[in-house]
Amino acid sequence: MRSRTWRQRAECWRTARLLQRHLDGELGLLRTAEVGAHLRRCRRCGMEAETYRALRATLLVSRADEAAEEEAVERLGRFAAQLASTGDDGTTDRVGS
Amino acid sequence: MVLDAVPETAFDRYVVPELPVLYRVARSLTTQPADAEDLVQDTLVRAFRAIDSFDGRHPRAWLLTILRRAHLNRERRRLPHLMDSAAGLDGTGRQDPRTPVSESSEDVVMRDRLGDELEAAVQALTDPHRRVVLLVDAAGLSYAEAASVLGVPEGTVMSRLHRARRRLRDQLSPAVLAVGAGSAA
Repeated sequence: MRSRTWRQRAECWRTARLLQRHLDGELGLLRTAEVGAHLRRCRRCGMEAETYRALRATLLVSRADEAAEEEAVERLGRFAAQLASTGDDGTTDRVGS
Repeated sequence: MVLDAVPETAFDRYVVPELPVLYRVARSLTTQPADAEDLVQDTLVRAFRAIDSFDGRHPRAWLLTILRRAHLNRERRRLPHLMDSAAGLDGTGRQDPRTPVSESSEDVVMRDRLGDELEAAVQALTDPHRRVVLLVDAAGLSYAEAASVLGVPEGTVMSRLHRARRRLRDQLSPAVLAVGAGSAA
C-alpha cells in the first residue's frame, strides 16, 4: 500500500479541522467545496465523516416521540393565537398547569 | 423601527413560526414536557410584550435569548442557591455541594429519549458538552443560536461540540451508529 504524501497528510489534517463545521453547514461555499472534494477523494476522511453523520442521525432518531412534540406545538400555537388576539396570557388556564 | 402598527401581526409573523424550535430547545433544558411547554409559554408572553420594540432582524436569535432569560428566571425561583453565578445554562460543570445527589432533570430527559447505550454515552459527557450536543444535534440549532441560548461565545460552542462528538463516537458501538446511518441513508 502506498503511503500518503506530505501534501495528502496536510489535506487530511486541514479537513479534520473543518469537518464538524462542514457537517453542520457552518462553512462558506468555497471551504464547503474544498472539504467535500477531499472527502470524496480520501477514503479515510470520508469514513470519518460518515461516522459523524451517523452519530448525528442517531441522536436525531432517538429524540422524543414526534407525535407528542407535534401535539405540544399545536397547543402552544393555540396559546400564541389567544395571546395575540386578546393579550391574555391565560395564567388561570395554562396548558402545562 | 417599529414594524407593524398592530403588534399581533408582527407576533404572528416572527414568533409563531419559531414554535417548533422553541419547544425543542425548551425540551433540551427542562425535565418534563409540561415544563417545556410552560417555559415556551413564558417566552411567548415576554415576546408578545416586547414585540413593539423588536426590529425584525433575526427573530430566532431574539426569541432564544428571551427563552434563555425565562429559563434562568425559572431556575432561580426553583433553585436559588444554584443560581448565584447564573451558571445554570452556561454549565461550568461545577456541582454545588448543597445539591442533593439525585437524578437531575437532564437525567430524566435523557432516559426518556435515548436508547440505553446512547443514553449512557451522552450522560457520561460533562454538563456543558451534553447541553451543546442536545441543542445542536437534537434540537437542530446553529452554532450561533446555541451560543445565544447558552450565553457563551460561538467558538466555545464549537469546541465543546467537537469534543463531545469525539467522545460519543469513541464510546458508541458500530451497532448503535448503524441505526443512525440507516436512517440517514
